[in-house]
Amino acid sequence: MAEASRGASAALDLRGICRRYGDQVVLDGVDLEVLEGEFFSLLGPSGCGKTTLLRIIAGLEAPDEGRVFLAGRDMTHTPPHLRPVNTVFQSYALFPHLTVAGNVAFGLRMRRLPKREIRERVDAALDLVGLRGLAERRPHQLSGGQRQRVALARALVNEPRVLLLDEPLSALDLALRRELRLELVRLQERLGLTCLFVTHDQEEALVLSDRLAVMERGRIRQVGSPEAVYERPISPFVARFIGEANLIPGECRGDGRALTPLGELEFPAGAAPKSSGPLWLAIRPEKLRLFRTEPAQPNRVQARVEGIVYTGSENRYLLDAAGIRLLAETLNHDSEEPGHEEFAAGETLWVVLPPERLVVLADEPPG
Amino acid sequence: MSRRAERTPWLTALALPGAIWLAALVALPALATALISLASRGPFGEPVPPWGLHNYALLLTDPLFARVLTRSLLLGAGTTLLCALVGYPLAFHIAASRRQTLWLLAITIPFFVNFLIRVYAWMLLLQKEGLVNAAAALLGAGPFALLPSALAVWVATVYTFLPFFVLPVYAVVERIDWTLRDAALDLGAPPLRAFTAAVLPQTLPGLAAGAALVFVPAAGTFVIADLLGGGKITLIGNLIQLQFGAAQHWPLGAAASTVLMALALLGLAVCLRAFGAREGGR
Repeated sequence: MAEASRGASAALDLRGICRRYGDQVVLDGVDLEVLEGEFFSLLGPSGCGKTTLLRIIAGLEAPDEGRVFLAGRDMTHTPPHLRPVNTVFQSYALFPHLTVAGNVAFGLRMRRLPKREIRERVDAALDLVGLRGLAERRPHQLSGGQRQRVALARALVNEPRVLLLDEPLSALDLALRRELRLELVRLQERLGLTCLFVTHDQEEALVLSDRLAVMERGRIRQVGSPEAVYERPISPFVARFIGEANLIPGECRGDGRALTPLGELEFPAGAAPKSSGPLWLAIRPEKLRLFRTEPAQPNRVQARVEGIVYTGSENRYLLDAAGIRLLAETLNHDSEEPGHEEFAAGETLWVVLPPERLVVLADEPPG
Repeated sequence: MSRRAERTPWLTALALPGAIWLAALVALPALATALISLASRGPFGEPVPPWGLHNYALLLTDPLFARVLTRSLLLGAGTTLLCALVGYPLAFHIAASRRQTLWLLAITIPFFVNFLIRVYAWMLLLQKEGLVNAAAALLGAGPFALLPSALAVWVATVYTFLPFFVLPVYAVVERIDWTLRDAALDLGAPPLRAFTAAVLPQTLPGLAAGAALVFVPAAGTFVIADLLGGGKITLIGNLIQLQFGAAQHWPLGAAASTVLMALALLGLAVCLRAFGAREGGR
């Protein structure tokens, strides 16, 4: 289906990529399409194969099976220096013996552009990342954030069809990471860049991406917009990996009801699996409602406050409900309004799991 | 990346044994040699007054000395070059090999055998009825007059000093940051260019160390030239040995030693400035 329309607006198209190291399967049939001008994140725990996938796209590694299409052309066997992609490496990989300007100019020099054009484009790229004054510095004279910007400028200056980013922010402290994250989005929008961003940081992926893919053990588990993946995860793994989730095991009883250790819980009728059997009910911590007195709402359960974590803007309650641990998050706005009350450790309270907030997930074999 | 340890009195004290060793066995003898080179020759070759620069005047005006010195420096340079051509790729191979330990053992194991015996082994290999000529005969070539010859001296010198080149280069190759090569490839550099732009610069300190460790002793060797050159190839090492021995002219031998030392130090300084200095910038 739609084979012809495929690739027309896809900057990157991966089909059935497999990669093995010995008998260890690192990538197990990855299909992925990144559209022109899209910011796409590959999200997964370390060791899920996301960096290997990036290296295969860059041509630094060859897949055992599958094809790599870049801008509509099959480049599976094209060597890295002839591919229209550039990478921002996790360790930045700046050339220590070259200046900042020398680093940024490297790709343009390899393409033998006229000296004047190189100078102009290097200056423009350094302006873009706010490093104009540091052109003559050496990498070891720069801070981590500055090095990161040089690495970004060095890749951007070549105007790649796809910019590959391998956890480029992971070595920076939180404040700087947030700042650079915003800058990256701004640049991407301004330049209309196509970005493939690899990260294990779900917050980063949610903030940055137009779409994202969650990877686990060499496979892509779910692709979608951040909202779609967050609100409607398709498996316990995705639910746990993107954000936090309370996962409650249960047995489907048909007609939108499941028997769980918390008693019988209602869930949206449309979400019911076809057959009865084991399932998981997932609910995000911020979707739980907490009450001091028993509310007249469905899916209410009594629980005890085991612990409280104060994070500034939120209170996080660790609850014990019939032996099931639940995490609840409430906004910290000093309200006694029902559902937003504050509680102390050891208190007994009522938790409501609003049926429309429950996501029904098929049972997934562990491991 | 190389984090300097903080300087504490304890760490300074750790240098003491080495400092004493160097002072007693390197600096003092070198000074003594320089001092003797300023003396005159006594009846048994021992240094006696009057003092002066006359030994140097003698050496520098003697065309034979210039020839011997040039020959020695050429042997040093030629040995360094061949060691680099063989040792540099070898170091990469070892660093990438799964049998690293075996390779390193193979390279260091000759040190368990006395140096003289190893040079005699080369005589056995290269002589007219030796292994090399036997192998050549099987292929219908030869026999070659390999001994004594300058070629034999060169080959044996390379053999002797190759480990001193391979080991320091191996040490830096092991720590190469290969993502720099990946970055160069990713930025459009063809493989060879990626190597010279991103890998070669990282190995310069090892190359400098290897070159210094090979060039200096190779230029000063004399046993190999004696045994494999048939006594016909005089190197500065032979000349010095001769002055302290049969010729009984210590001050002249000391002057020749001092010239060699000065040249070696100069070469070392140039090497370090050209290659090694980069690391200091970190």
